[in-house]
Amino acid sequence: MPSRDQGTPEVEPFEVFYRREYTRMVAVARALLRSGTAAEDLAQESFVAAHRHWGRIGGYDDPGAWVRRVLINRATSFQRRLGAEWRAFDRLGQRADERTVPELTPQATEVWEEVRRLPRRQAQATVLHYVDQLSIEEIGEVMGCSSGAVKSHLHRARNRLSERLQAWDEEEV
Amino acid sequence: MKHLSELEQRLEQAAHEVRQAARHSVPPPFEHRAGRPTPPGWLVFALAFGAVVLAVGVLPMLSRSERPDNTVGEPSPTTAAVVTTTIPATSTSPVVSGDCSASGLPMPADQEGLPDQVADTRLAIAEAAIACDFETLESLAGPDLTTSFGGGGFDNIPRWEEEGTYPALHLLVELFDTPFASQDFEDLPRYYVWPSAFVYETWDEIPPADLEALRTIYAQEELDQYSEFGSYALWRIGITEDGEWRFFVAGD
Repeated sequence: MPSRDQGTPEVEPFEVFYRREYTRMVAVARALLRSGTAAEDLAQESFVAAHRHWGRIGGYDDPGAWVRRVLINRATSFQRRLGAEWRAFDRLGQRADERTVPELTPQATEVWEEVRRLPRRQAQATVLHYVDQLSIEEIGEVMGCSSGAVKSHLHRARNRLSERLQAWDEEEV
Repeated sequence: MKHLSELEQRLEQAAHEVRQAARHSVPPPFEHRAGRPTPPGWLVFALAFGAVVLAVGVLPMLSRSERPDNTVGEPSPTTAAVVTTTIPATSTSPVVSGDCSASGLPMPADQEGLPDQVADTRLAIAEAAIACDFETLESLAGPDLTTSFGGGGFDNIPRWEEEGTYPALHLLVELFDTPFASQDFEDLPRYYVWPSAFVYETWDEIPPADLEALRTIYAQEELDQYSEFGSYALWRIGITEDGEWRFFVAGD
């Protein structure tokens, strides 16, 4: 099974990996989700998945790509689960979490709302490119597709965003 | 927006803001819990409401629309099976490399009627299985993925492969090439299930074409056993409508 551990690669301590990558993962999650606290939770959940089998995952060529893949794959269902939980809290008249997360400006909020409305793969590629500043090849690694496919996702995303954000601007005028 | 460069600027600015905001997030320590990570806040809530949620959440993989032993409070599907696909006559691309039970299998053909997110997950799982790529496969597993037996998670899959207990990767690919069905449950996302045979309450209700698809996976004796048992309880895969891989189980 070629993709399992080959030999005994040097495994970076999880804590080091976690501290280095945490804010980047939160930023990616923040762009994919509406809520800042949800973004933190999704990032943590993705790290929990890696931590559980760090002896193995830490030996992968790029554990960061693995955690990003988990994060972007789980973002949609995470939003749904979280929504259900918050609705339940609302019914109980309380919120689960009182953390304060910095708000984004209306302009940035508008941009990410439009990105989230893109087809899922386009949205993922856009977030990994702009927020995480990954190269086309790195995005392909995370998304499990070719560089050509990544370029195509980004091209379509830009065209669609250009139209939609222009419409926003015209409405504002 | 007349120029893409203007869009580029807005995206860069919005991305910068998101990165700045993320810097305020302090990573909670992992080391203070005997090596276990701090559970996210929502998990605390999930535990408080866990019993009910879990009972509801595992139902689709365990039950058909009406099990004889249904207990009060278990949701029943609001819609029974809705099977739409036919077995593809041909498969698509040939396969890659690898050394596992799925090596050399063709990719399952596209199936009409699946939501994009479900179709994406299905093909990604099949692709990773054929490539014997456990790393990718694990990253595609939903957080609550359940595998047989006794409620295991993803780890069963590489273990079965390595021990030769079940040809898990082979099954994943082959099952995805059978017709699917969707099931609705109260307060839960819609589930897409392979093979469709699982959602029929009785063996006799399974359409002949759907049964035919199973003959490429199972020996006739196995199918005969379940025909006598009365319903399909062999391997099945479930993906939620938003693309979360939720179960890969067998048994009643």
